[in-house]
Amino acid sequence: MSSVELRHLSKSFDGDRHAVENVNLSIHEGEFVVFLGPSGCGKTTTLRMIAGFEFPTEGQIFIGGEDVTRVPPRRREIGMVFQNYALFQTMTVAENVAFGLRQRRLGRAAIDARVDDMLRMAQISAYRDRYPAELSGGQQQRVALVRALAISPRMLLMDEPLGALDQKMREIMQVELKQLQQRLGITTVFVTHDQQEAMSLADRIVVMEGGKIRQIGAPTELYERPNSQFVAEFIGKNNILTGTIKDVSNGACIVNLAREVDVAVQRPINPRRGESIVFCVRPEHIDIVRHSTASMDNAVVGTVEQTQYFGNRTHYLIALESHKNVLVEKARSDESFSVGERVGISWNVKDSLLLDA
Amino acid sequence: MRMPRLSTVIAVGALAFLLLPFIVVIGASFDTSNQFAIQFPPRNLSFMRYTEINPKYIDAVINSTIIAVIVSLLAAAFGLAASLGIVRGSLAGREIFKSFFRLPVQIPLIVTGAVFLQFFSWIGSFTGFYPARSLAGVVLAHLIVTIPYAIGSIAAMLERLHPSYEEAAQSLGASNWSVFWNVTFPSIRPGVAVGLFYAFAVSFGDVPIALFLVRDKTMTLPVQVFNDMQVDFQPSILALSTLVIILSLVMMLVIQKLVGLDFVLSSRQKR
Amino acid sequence: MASDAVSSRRTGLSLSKQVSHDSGHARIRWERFLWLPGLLYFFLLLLPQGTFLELSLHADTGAGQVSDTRSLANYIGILSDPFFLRSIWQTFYLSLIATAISLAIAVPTAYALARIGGKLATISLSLILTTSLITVVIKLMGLSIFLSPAGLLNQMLLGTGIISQPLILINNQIGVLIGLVQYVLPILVLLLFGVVQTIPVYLEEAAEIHGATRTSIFLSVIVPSMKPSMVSGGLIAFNMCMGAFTSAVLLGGGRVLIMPVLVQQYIIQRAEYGYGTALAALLLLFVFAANVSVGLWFVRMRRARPVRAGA
Repeated sequence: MSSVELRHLSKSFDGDRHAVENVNLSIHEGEFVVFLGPSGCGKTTTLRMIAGFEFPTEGQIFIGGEDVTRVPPRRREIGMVFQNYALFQTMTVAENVAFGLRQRRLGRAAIDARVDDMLRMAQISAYRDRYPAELSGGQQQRVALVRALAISPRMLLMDEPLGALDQKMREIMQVELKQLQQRLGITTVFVTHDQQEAMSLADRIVVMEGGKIRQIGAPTELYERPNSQFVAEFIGKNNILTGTIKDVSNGACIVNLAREVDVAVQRPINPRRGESIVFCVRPEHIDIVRHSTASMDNAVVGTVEQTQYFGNRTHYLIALESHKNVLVEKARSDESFSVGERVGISWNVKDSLLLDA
Repeated sequence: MRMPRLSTVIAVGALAFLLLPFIVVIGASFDTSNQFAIQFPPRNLSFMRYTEINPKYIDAVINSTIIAVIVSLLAAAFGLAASLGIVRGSLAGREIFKSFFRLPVQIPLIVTGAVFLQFFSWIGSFTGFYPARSLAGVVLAHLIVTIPYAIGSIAAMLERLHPSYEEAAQSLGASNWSVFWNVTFPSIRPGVAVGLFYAFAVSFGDVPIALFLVRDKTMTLPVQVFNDMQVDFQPSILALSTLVIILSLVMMLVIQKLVGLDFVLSSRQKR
Repeated sequence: MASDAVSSRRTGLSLSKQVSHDSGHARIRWERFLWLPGLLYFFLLLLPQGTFLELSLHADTGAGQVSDTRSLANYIGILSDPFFLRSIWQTFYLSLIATAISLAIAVPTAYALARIGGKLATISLSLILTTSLITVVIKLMGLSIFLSPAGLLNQMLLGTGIISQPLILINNQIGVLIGLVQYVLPILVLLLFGVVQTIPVYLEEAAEIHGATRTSIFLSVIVPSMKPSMVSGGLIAFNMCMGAFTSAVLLGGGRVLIMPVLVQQYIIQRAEYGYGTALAALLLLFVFAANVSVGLWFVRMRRARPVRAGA
């Protein structure tokens, strides 16, 4: 297995604006890295540059310390799983898996043994002589995966490989994929636009937008400490609020949201009175109380606008007097609120996170 | 019961109109009521007309078949090369290339025939090689008008083949040659088959081009029949035509079994 | 043409477009394959057509010879001779009428086949496809037997007493028209069938639930959706008719002298290459002019009225 390094990687098509701009990234041996971002963010282009299907306009790519920037894909020794699986329709499952081995001119016996091993590993030995069109989506997915792994690649690239599966199958495959990756210890780069998928699979997530990397970090890090409004909104549900600094105390500063509404949030490094700031609070970190009861310390008053019941939790959409809506998540339903009810919401100062605007 | 739709009535009529000539030819070929006159509906059914087919028609069928086989193979090869270039190539004006390679079918066939008559004698005048003196003349002329048909069906197939299949093969270590023979070509084979089929049909049935280029020795079947229909109509032509019709139907069935009617229809090169 | 636009849009969406414009791409250089057919097209299309057009600038000097100097004499001669002008006009209106008749039959036929669907439609379509692929001389042979004064059609009409004298349906313009319709109808049906298939049935159901009759559904839902392909299909049919030679000779009996027939006569029978090539060049010019003008008109129409949803 190999480490991967991307240095100042840029790519532009037709001399147009950059599809990928100055991407720098080090991937450790055996690491599972997920490129996450909306469509057109440059994640697939970056993956295709690692695979060798695109050459970068600028920058370098190292795999296992070797500069492969201009090496054609067939000599990169990389396994790739495509969004549409790209299984050869005119070949059987076994022939698909054997394809890469045949290119390496291995002996018949060696190829057969390797193919049998791979099929057994993916539990698809029974489909050995079927054609791809005769398999279900999940089975095709497995064939595509072992075909890529059969050549013992230096690393594995996956381009939205689970996108075509239904929700249930996708979750099953996520678990299998993660287990397999850990067992083989293969360096893996996985592209997706689904943040939940990214969270469940990745050792580290690379959030991309507009061809640039916005943040790199472990799932918990990105969830708990997003560095920008984009990441805060893209990963999980979040409430983005804006206000102006009114007063500064030791641990926190008082922010004015609207006319009479003040809340305490984390203290910025260099707070200046009158400065406008952006911060976020996760829905599950917000407490909700009846307006009449409780001490309304650091609480904002609002009206329940909408409720959504999910069984294990309930979402409340609260309309504040500043006309901003705030989403609140309550884990248990021992206390419920109804639409139109006046409520107070509050949060711990440490759960309010300041963001770059 | 609902009245049948007017459109259904028209469709039945259209189908009858299109099939009528063939029914007449097939029917009349079995009539032997009169040695020299043609009779439809037939009386005194027999295979007599089939036993008296003139040897010159047999020669013409052989010529036509040789020409059509060579033409369809060449058209498929050139059509394959052109399709790969147009669909997969890195081209600035893809649509312009597409239209350019479609040009030959937009020129009236009679013009193409006249053009080649003149062109071949012009070539002959300074090289001493006269293509129209052998089958080569008709083959070359048919080739240029059948290539667009081959491109039509092969390019249609190639457009359906997502580039990721070729990329998958590349990432598995396949050389360009191996990518083509193991992945690209097997996937577009139905398109090649349909292209061969269309090119064969166009070449085998052509009158307006061959008319300018054939001589006695290189006479093709349609031109022979065309000539004889004007001056010396022999009823045995009906028998031969019936055989051609049956053969066409069989070919049609075979190609449909191979690739499916939907694909045959969707990849038809529009004139 | 509408169908081409659709296919190019599909290409545009595929990955190949995205990567193909990129110079630094690590891909197979497929475009090099264009050299082979490109060279062939030069030698078998551009060069012959070019020398041919050049020949049309040389006046005939008799006995199959042409003059050495270039002039527009042939063109002027043709375009100022009522005989040729009549032929041009006849070629034009016969093609136009044949196209109109074929469209009028092909549109409902394609619609009926697409909506009937199933095995019946499949068999009908493959029969139609087969008829379009069998050499036209056999079709014309069958037609001329059927339509002749002693043929089955006249026998039946005389037998029922509808007519007292056989109708003359061949060796005149009527025969040529029937032959032209026979020639282009299968291609139009096949082309339009593919278009009807793309019109969702729910559009018709929506119209029906709002109280539309079958006729008004056909006219207000089907026909407007098919208009672009009717124009492009009609153009294809018109092109084919303009160049149709075999039907004109075999069903016109040497009396219908449309341009393709004259081209053949002047070149093969009279060996007047100057006039023959100029006639062919004019025919080519008219076909291209028709294509370009309809194309431009079509583009303007589309621009004037935005494409409606679902069409």
